[in-house]
Amino acid sequence: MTLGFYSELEKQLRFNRELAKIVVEKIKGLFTEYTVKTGIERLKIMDFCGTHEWSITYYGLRSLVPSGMELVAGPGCPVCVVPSHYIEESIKLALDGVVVYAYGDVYKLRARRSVRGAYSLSEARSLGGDVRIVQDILSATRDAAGHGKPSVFIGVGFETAAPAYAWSILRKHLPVNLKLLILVKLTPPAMFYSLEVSREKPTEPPINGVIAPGHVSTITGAKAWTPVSENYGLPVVISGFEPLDVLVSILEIMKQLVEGKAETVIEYKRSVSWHGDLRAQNAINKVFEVVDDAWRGIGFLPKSGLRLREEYRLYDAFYEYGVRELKPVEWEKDMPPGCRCAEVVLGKAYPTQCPLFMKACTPQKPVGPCMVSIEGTCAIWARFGSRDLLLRITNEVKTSKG
Amino acid sequence: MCIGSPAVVLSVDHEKMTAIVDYGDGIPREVLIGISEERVKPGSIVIIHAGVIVSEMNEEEVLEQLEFFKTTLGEEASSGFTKIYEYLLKESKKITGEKK
Amino acid sequence: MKEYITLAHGSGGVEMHEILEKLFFKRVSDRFKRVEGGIGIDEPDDAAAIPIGGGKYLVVSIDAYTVNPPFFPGGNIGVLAASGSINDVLMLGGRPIALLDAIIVEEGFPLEDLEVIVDSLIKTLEEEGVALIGGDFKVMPKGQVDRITITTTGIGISEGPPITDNPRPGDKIIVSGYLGDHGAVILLAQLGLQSSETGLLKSDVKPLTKLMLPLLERYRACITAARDPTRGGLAGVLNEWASKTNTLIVIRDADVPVREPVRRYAEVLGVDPYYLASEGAAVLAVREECAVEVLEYIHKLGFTEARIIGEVRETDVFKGYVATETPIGGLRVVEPPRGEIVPRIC
Ligand code: SF4
Repeated sequence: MTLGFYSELEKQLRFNRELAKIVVEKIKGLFTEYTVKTGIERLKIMDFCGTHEWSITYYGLRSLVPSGMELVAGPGCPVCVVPSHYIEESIKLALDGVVVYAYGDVYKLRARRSVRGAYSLSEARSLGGDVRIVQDILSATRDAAGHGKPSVFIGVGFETAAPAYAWSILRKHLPVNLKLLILVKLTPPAMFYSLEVSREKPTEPPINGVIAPGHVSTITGAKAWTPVSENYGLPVVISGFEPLDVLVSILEIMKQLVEGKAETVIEYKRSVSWHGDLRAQNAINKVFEVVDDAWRGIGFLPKSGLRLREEYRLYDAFYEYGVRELKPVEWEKDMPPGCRCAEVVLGKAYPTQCPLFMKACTPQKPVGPCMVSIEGTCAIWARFGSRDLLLRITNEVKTSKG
Repeated sequence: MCIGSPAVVLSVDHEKMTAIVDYGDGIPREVLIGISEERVKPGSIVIIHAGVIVSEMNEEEVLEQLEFFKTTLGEEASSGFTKIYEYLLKESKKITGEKK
Repeated sequence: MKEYITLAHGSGGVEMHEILEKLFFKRVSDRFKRVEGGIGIDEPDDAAAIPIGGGKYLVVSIDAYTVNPPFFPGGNIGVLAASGSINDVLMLGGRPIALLDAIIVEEGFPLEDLEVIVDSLIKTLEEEGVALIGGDFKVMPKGQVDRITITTTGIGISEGPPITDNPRPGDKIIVSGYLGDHGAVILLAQLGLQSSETGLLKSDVKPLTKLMLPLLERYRACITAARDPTRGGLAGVLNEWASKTNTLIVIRDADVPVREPVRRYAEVLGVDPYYLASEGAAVLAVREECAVEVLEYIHKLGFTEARIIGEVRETDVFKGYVATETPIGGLRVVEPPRGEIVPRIC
């Protein structure tokens, strides 16, 4: 079976160069209009989703938008913000003979301290731990049911991943030997926090608009973001992930800026509704409770994480294996010395402003968490080049000859 | 943060709340249904994150999408989409036909 | 801090180059990096050449094949071991004539499976007119080797100077067909994504004799570099070329052939097809003046998906970079492969 009409839509949104050109021209036009009107020459638009950041870099959007427009990434990677403590606990489990299931990016994530010689689940595997990479929870349930050994699934993610864990419990998919280490984080608190920080200590330029996460919003609904437009006076566009989706969202932000509006608008209409999916929301509420949770490099944010409710202890790896929770009193910035990841995550610094970037800290030997996850801003800049590099290389490609 | 891939639903198991889907590589895979199950039927185009259906796209919503492009880009600039429009209207008849 | 070997060291990326440098290139004295007048590890490649007089060279390659699982959609480790060494000889400009193999198999491995694997290896060789002239066979106690590994040495004759991968500014980059098929299948199998269903994904493993022999005969002088993009994929090959020759290589996404199911599957996993291995495709750098002709000839040879995907450029600043123009007209840097390829959820 083919993807039918979707393939056609995707083709346009991903490959239609003419259309991209038109949208880019329009963005440039509005940008100039805005500058003339307000005298502001530099704008900053923040995205909050690793996959948006990925689209922006993968399709080279920074080489297309006006040079006064900065596209920066917020705390949009659920892997980067997992405190080192929980990775250490997971490594311990793996080295103690528990089968550990992890997503690929969690598998690579480095802890700040080593546990018996291993800094990551990947190293734990080299040292004999049974760590298995999975792409989804059903694969883990099947695999674990097959071997019957004590197993733990590292359940990171944002609101988008939460229904997976909720339904696997509610629909009794989990075999008795598989427990969940739920480390789900909620995105709105992180976004509000980043905006709060930048309101108190504005960056130059300040944040002028927000590209809000598309897939999180399929669950939460677009309504989750209205406080951003209301309280911070910023245009918010919930965007799809094709390059043209993102460009059109930027255009919408520019439009609002020129018209002096600050509204929450859905660009990703094909997937996102205003209220989200109520059934998924109910399942999440049933299984999980909202807790104050620690974000790596940021600290404890109130009501920003999910843990299993007591009724579901049977499935809880925290309970089964006595995994210790991090307490606010023992919080210390778990960033290695010199690492500016905390600022990078909040859009306050570029990776290139970190003295360690591509010197001591590289994707092979990451120092800080932003370099670890494939979604981390530093890792993305390392892989696809910084904006500055990109602009210069674009220039060179246009002028150089073979 | 949340990579999501489109897929077409091949069949639905209401008891387990799972569906068999094809991402376009021809391999039937079992995924969990994370959203209201009425939204997921054979033939539905859905978005899947980490093995769970998190959204479903019907023709109506795609038409809304195209409307949005029209208002944001202006009538003349969105001409790139008229093709999809026509395609969709045609297809949507086919798809709804198929579903029955 | 004590260091350990991790899987990343064997993934054909930056880490592997570092460890090879540390373990071998630094330790072998320059004089012993090649046979006088030939090519050795001074040109770190999958194969080497030794001059045998009359302007000809003996081409020798070696490769150890460990693939999990030994049987995969589109082939098995036997076909892979035969094709791989044949291709390594071809890519250096040699005509493969013989092969030796060393098989290590785990105690308890089904004999039936081993027969199928060896049959495939022999069949592949016979079809290409390559003799099997020697080998070794060992059994290891259970658990000391993962099912089976096959090491093969390919031997061939190069009628002219070997192709040493020195693309020059102006050269066009040609790929012979769809990329990433093999890598996608192996990821699929390793992630154990459901049953034996293989869908539309199939390894492209095959010897490239039918492509390379006629090409070498007619256009040897036009070809400045040739490589089969196995581990590390297209990104690995192009980055090696660019950094070796201090050039900037620019390609266009829209021209790189990737099969639709592979693209879809890669997207589900969040991996980039440019980093996925191919076992039956070639990447060539061809001098500008012959590029179009060579491409047409490749099409005539039956490789109808072959395309010119970009070119090599001179650069003052961006030496060693690979850049690609995205379908909507943006630009991105294609970094060298690093680490293991693993799926992501973010
Ligand atoms: S480059 Fe490394 S050390 Fe610097 S901010 Fe990024 S992750 Fe931290």
